[in-house]
Amino acid sequence: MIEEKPLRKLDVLTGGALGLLGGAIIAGALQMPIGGTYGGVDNPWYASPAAMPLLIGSALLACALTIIFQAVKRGGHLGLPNFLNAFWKSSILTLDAARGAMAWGSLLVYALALQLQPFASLSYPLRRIGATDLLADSNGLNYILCSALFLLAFALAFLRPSGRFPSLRYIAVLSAGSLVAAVLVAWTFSELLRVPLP
Amino acid sequence: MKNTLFRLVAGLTLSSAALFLSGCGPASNSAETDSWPTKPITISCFAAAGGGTDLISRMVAQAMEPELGVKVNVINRTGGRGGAAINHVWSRPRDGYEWGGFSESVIPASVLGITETTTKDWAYFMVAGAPGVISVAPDSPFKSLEDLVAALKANPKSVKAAAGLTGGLWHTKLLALEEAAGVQFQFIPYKGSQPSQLAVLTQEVDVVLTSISEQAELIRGGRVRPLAMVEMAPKELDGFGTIPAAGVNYPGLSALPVGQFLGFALPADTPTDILARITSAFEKIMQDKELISYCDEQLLDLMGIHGEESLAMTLKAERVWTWKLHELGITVKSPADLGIARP
Amino acid sequence: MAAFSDFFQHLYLIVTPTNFALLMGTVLLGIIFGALPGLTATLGIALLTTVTFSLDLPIESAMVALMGVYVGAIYGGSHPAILLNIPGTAAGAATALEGHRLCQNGRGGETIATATVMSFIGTIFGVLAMLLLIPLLTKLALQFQSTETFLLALFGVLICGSLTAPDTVVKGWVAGLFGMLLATVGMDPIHGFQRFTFDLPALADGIKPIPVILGAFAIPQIIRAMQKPKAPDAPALKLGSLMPKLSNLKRHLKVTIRSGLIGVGVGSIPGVGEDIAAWLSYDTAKRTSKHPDEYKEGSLEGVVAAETANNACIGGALIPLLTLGVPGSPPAMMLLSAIMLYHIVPGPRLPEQHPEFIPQMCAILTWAAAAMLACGSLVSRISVHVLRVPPPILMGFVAMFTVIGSYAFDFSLFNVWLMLGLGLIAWAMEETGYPVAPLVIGIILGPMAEENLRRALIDHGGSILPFFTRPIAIVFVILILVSIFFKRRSPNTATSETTSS
Repeated sequence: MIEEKPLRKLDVLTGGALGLLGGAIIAGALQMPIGGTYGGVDNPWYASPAAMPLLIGSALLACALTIIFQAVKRGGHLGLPNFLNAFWKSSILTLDAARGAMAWGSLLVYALALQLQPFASLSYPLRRIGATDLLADSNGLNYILCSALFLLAFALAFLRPSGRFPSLRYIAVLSAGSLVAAVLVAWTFSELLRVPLP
Repeated sequence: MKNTLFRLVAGLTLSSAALFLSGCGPASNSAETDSWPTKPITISCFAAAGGGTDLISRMVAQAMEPELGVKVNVINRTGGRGGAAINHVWSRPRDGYEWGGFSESVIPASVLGITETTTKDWAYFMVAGAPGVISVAPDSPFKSLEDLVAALKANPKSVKAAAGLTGGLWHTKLLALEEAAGVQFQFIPYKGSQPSQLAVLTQEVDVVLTSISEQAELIRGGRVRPLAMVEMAPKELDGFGTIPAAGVNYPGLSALPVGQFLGFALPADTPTDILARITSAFEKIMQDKELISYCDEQLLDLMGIHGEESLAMTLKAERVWTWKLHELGITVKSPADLGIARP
Repeated sequence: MAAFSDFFQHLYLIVTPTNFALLMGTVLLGIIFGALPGLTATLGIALLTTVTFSLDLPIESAMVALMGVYVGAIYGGSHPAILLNIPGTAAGAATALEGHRLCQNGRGGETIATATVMSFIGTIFGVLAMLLLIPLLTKLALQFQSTETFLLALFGVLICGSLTAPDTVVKGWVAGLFGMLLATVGMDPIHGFQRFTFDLPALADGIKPIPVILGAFAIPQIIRAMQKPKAPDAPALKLGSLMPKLSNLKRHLKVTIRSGLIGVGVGSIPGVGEDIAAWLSYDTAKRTSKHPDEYKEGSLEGVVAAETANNACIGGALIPLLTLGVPGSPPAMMLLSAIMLYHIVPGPRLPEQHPEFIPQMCAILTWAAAAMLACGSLVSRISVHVLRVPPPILMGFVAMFTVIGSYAFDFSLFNVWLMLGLGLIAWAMEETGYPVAPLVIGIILGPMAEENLRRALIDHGGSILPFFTRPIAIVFVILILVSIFFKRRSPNTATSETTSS
């Protein structure tokens, strides 16, 4: 969490965003069927699908106003543009933030690889030469290769943040480890726990 | 001391070996032969673990294994209100290795916007089904269905009724009873049969309509008192006696030919020789002792219906049910657009 | 005391070499299930049901296996919660709150040991309740109509919000409301109307808790650990002793008893699970604590309260399952199906029809608790070494497990994308002073709150009077009002200026 002073300034922003969200929910809820009957059952507002969104929207709006009010009371609204400018430079354009973004981004790439299945077709030649089970399954093979590459990339990217370029032997050990780990995890899930792989 | 230690270690090893073996199943043989089946079959059950559909799927899997000579697994794919399982099976190659563990609630799935497929696209194998029963709390003033109807005639909507979710099988049955008897309940929706029954126990509602198999223990234990079967035939319940049929006094009930069935289905365009192989195995498992005694205990009526007969039944139910839901305004698509004729 | 003599007899009869080996194996499996993100007790029981059933095990052995997984999985969640601050369940989030701070202060070993012992004691509480309080707790379960259930759910979200807010309490409630908002996506629980789905078929069935739990707890932790090579959040290597201290047990005796009772009581209410039990008992412990200042540095008392209550829930949840055929929690639901596969139908007649079954289940639960104590102590010797793994490798694995964990719930990659998106939101929330635990409890209890609120209102024709006339409802209304308007001496708010991460 950030310190007290910038936090109050950000509160004005998060409070504002929450207020908008609350308003949007109320607007959305009013589009839902209210009144009359639904499915042969009476549908007054408290029984309608809109009831809960209306309550949540109003409560969010109330909370958002409270947060903004408390923040403004402590001077959160003063000099907001300048603050944002400084905040952008001091907190977002930093190495730390970039590393965080990279961690999240690598997960995104991993998920994308599971969705697009770049290695799936490799299972066909493997099946021809007599592979069975995991390797013969296009999902299984793709999962193993994607996971191994992800583990390797994650470890390589973060393990030596400031060091020199890692030695070949080091990379070889990491690759072998990632592959073994990926196979183990894939086998445990698909064979032992009966969870189909993505 | 040494002995016990040895036994302990041996036991541990054995049990973990058993766990592994059961997890792996028989090694699948990739040699391509003509004799179907050669690899494990998966039943994708569209209902959550613990319900009737799930239990029947597991029973079928258990009984099918020796018949077909391969492992049969059950996976609960409950996403999308059952659509996950239906669409998954539909999207798979027609090689007979992917079955859907379905119940009668697959019938209106098309008009509810859950799936693209309609009843005619599937080959159903109906294992069993339970009739519906309407019950009250033991200290309720209603001694018979006629009492209840009289009270409702005098005071419409004065009785609170629970019957699962809006638009579900038991709610539809309740609507049929309302029409046949010319009365109106105050319907209170619950998420399923068990919460509906609990609501009578906590006295939140006055009557509950769910399947006899789900109510049997409560009836025998004296927690609820059955008024009538919401069917055309009475039912003998050992440990209680005979429960009369509502259809005797209210013959209009037969207008809604929808009943519970639990079982499985394959896409109708699966190769006929595979379907034939499954059909012969299905006929054998309907004689399976374990399955029969289970259904008997659960008060499920054995059905063993497949092929033309099951198709005719489901098509008829589809017409009536989907149009009924459409009238109530809870459909996403019109049955007419899906090519379902008005009954 | 016929129940007791039967119980002791079964305690002896259950122990055969096969059962013993099975118990150890399944408890271990359960602990692994509980510790891995995304794998739950429910899934564990579901998988083992298939195995035990196809192996044709006798019913005692099958129940031994299933209860072993159940107890192990509920306990196993405490390991990643304490060591990595990544709870696998909403119940574990209460443990993580105090436990992880203790771990950072070099008391990780002691915390895990205490959690293990308390989970054991909690489970035994459940057994005692099954032996002594069945009629009473069945009556309690039947007192809960929609009105009471709604109030309990609302109370759960509110106290979680107040307890976890590092800044102002309002931010905790906002997080809870946001969770409840996510829960409204998809089919509404009363009419089946599609809400906020934006015509995406994947959203039609709503947002499920597991991707939210993983996104909210694991993703921010991964981002934070990778942001700084030696982040302040990186777990301390000092572990302290792995043995539970007797003095600790004595010191927390009162909290233990109270938490056990809360766990048993909450567990016996149908549909309500371990998560509310843990938060309710943690709230009570913190509110009535004699050492409130301990909660700044991480309080063992908080861990004791949460862990005792969530394991005591198991016995509680079995009571309505066995006497009414209504399961008290999702894993109990799965257990019901397994019992019925063995031709035993739980219900009011169970005690006369199968008089041996309840004492037998009590005996099995006792042995499962003992096996959990033994395996837990062994596993903690291994699991604490997780802290010695360099964070990039450890977090790589955690990331991999979160992906497969959110996929495995209903085999859809959409949940993985959802988890990643929510993870980013959760990270931003934590940075700006909004806690994430209420978000998770909100999405779990949101549907329960909504369904019961609307039904209560339909039931009484729109009148809110029953909220103030039904005796149990009044108690909850008062508790809720107190938790909103009563200014607590919150150590969290007091230190908001000094803590920063």
